[in-house]
Amino acid sequence: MSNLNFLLQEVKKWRDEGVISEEQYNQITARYPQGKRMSTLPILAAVLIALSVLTFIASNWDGMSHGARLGIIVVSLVASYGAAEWFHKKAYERLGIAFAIIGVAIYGAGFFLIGQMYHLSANPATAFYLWFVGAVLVAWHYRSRALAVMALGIFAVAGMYGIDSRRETMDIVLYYLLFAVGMVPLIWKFRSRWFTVIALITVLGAAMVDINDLGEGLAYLALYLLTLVLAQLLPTTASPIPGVLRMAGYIGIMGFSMLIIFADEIQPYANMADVSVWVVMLVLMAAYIFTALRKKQLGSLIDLIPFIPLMAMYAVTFMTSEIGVRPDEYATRGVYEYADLIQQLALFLFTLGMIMSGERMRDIFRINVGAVLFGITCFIAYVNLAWDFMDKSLFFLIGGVLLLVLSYFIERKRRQWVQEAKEGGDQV
Amino acid sequence: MMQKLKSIRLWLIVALQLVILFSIVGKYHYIEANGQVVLLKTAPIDPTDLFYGDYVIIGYEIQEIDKKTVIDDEIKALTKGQDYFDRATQVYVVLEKKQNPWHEAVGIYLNKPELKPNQAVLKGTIQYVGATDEAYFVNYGGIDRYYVPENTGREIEDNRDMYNQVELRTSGNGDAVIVQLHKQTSKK
Repeated sequence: MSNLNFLLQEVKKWRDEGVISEEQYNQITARYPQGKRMSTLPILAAVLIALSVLTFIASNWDGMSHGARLGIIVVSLVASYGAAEWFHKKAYERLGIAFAIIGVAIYGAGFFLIGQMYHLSANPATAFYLWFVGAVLVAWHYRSRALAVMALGIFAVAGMYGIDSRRETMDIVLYYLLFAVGMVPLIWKFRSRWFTVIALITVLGAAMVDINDLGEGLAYLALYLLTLVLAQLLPTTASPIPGVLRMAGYIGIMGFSMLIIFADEIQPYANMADVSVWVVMLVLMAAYIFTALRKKQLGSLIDLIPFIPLMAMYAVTFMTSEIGVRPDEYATRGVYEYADLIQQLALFLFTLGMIMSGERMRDIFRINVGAVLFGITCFIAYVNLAWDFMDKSLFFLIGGVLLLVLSYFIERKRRQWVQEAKEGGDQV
Repeated sequence: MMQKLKSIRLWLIVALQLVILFSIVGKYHYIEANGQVVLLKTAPIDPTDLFYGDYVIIGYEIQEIDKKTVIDDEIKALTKGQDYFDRATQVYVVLEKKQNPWHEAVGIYLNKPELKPNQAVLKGTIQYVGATDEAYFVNYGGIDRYYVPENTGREIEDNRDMYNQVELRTSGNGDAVIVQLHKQTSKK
């Protein structure tokens, strides 16, 4: 539902409940005329034309000289932007944006055309990076969300394009730098939930691929911790960005915990990369704790719990074993022997603590998320502990029944808490 | 007034985009127009790229350089005593036309050497060399793709014996641009 529809519905409710008078209702609705929403058709048309430009270049039609091809690119590029500016001035904003989208597509096509002309194959990432820069500039010029999405799309492709052939370190650094300089300000500007979500999925996905070679897995933990720290650091005015970051952190740590619990073989040996990651994590934790204390959000400290077991185990590892020496394949697992059970316990503490701290902080969203994560934790524990001992159909049956019973209790408790939180909110 | 300024901003962005595109064109156009002609032996195969379209991968005979050719002392020092050397290292490969119509590698150098008039130079990266290998394996990053019109790559791959020579232009610095994939009418 759009903001406008929501507003109009709410206003109607206020009138019906007598909060505002009929006259005030009319005044308010008159301020927000329904027909003001612009059509998205031009944008769709632009996307199709942009795709046509790109696929035409990809077909490498050889009926033209180099000069003629370049000429077409230049003329059509300038014409598109010219049309964009003209329509924009005449207040046909969507049409203006549509032409700007086509312009950005032609600019990108230029790279591929030049690549074909000179049979270039060196470092394809560079072309996408430069394309992205051009797109971001135009997106800022028009303060346009559609163009920002296009820039994000180019960024995503830039990340995927180099994936099959390992990217150079320089390209990787540049990639995140471009995100920080090009994408983050746009995310900040629009504060749109779904735009933030897609941007975060893109950059976290790329990061997870890039840290694959870094150490023995601790780096993933550091990444999810980083999202929590960022969420904690951002002011409430940044909403919905902190919420999205926090959810990303939760999803990450739940997934990683499942890996520890089910894969059952995580056993990082002492190595320099992980030691540095460990130190970074310590700094991140300190930053998180410091911010929590300063904002007087002690409850949010609960979120650190699932990170602690592996960090503690790793501390033992690098203090007791020689750095850089891989353990013998058949050696005992040492401190990691009970890693799955410890992580399981940590998850229970974390999710229950989240529900309870949510209650104390009167944060209904936190209670709900905590309840969902608690349910998942119960399911993980059940699968981990019961799978091997039971007939499979019995396993699923008991699991299903257990979850139903559990969800009933959680829901009852949750309603009770939500009710209490609401009442508490009213009192304040 | 604001409107005007805003317009100027867009045109600055457009100009920047054009400058970026043309700076790429400039470099390669210069090499293509002024570079030294080099012909190399090859065997193309055919994949597709989502954005650049169909191309054939060009593998060069000079990717394997016999240890009997001149090896720079600095490179010898680099790989000396190692069973297997695979630290990607940029090198200069000197090419010369002998009795064949195409160029052959006559030496590998860590720093750009002085060239004789009939020689050309190409930048490459040592991929690996083993102590027991007969040759150095060198990669030529920027010139391993030849773009072709849609759906014509397969034909080239199927007749790869006929498309066995690539014409390049090389600059004095070792940069190169592919100009053409030659089709031989008689098999060589």
